[in-house]
Amino acid sequence: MNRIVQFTALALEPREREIVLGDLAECSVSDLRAFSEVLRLIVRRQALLWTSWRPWFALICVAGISGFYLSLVFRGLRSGIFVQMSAWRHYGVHYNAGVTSFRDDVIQMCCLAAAIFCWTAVSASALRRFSGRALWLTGLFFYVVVHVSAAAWALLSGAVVIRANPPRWTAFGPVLPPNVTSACLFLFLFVVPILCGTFGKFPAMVPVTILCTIVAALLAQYHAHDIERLSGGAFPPAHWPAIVAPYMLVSWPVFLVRSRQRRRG
Amino acid sequence: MLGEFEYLVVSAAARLGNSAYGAAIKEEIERTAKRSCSIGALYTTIDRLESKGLIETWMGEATAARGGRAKRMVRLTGKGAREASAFYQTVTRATRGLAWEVK
Repeated sequence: MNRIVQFTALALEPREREIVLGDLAECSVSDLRAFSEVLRLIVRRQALLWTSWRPWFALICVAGISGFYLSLVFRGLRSGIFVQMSAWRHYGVHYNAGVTSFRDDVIQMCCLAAAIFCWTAVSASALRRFSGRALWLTGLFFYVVVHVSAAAWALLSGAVVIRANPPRWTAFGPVLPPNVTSACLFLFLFVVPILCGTFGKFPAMVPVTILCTIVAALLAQYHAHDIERLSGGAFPPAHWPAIVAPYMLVSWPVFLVRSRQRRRG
Repeated sequence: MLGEFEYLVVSAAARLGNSAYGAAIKEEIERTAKRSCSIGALYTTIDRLESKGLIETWMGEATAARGGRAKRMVRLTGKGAREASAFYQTVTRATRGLAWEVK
């Protein structure tokens, strides 16, 4: 049996993987047939997973709703970094819009970064807990939502309008799907909690992380209000319950499931 | 009531007795029913039958022919035998007096 079949079989539970690969070895089937058999079993197992509410919750609430709001936070940070980096690269100075100081911008970006860090880690843990072996699909959807939905929303809602003819594509830097840095950062934040089971080993981190995220989101909102005040209402902030509510929707079930497991243990 | 493929799996497990496991059941179904049997269909059916309490499974020994990997042994339960008997009687009653003409 070749390595491709064995690699494909990694999508199965360890016990079932051993049984199936043993059966295929005993039947002396060709590599192509073995690959086809394993693939069909994986498809059946994946289809069965979706008969439960758990992966649907992970897909809709965690990856869909929470992912969309996280994408707004991500876009805010990317925009801030993009503007500052562009100003520094072209003119050797930091960007100052005249409504906020550079210090305020940095604090704002730090708050957004903290919110992204906590939010992504908790979302990864929630996806792992609720998706089970459907994690590859819900995780992929979460990645796409986080990196594409804000850009799509900005274009569809008219927040970004293409006026130049031909369009100046460099202006789309902050809203385009991820650059390498943000993709790597996201994958690191997303994959590490899944691989390490951080919240499984340190359950106290769940409420602490939830608290940190809310504080970070509120601090970011405080500065957003500051921007609104200084800009004379030109840049109104998003309504903060609309940002925090989806996160709460996702994080508390994680906390409750974790607590119940601890009581059983 | 059992389904058609469930009945084939239960029948194969009953015929094989103590040596019923995945690969053996697959070969038995292909031999008697003269149709191909995929591993995916077999194991999802075995899981379903086990959840209904019609069969029992446990991990068997590993052999060299299997590359040192363990088997999933299968045994028919009393409830499984009753369900299979009921399926057989239903099919027999339903087809009594019929002479199928294949054109």
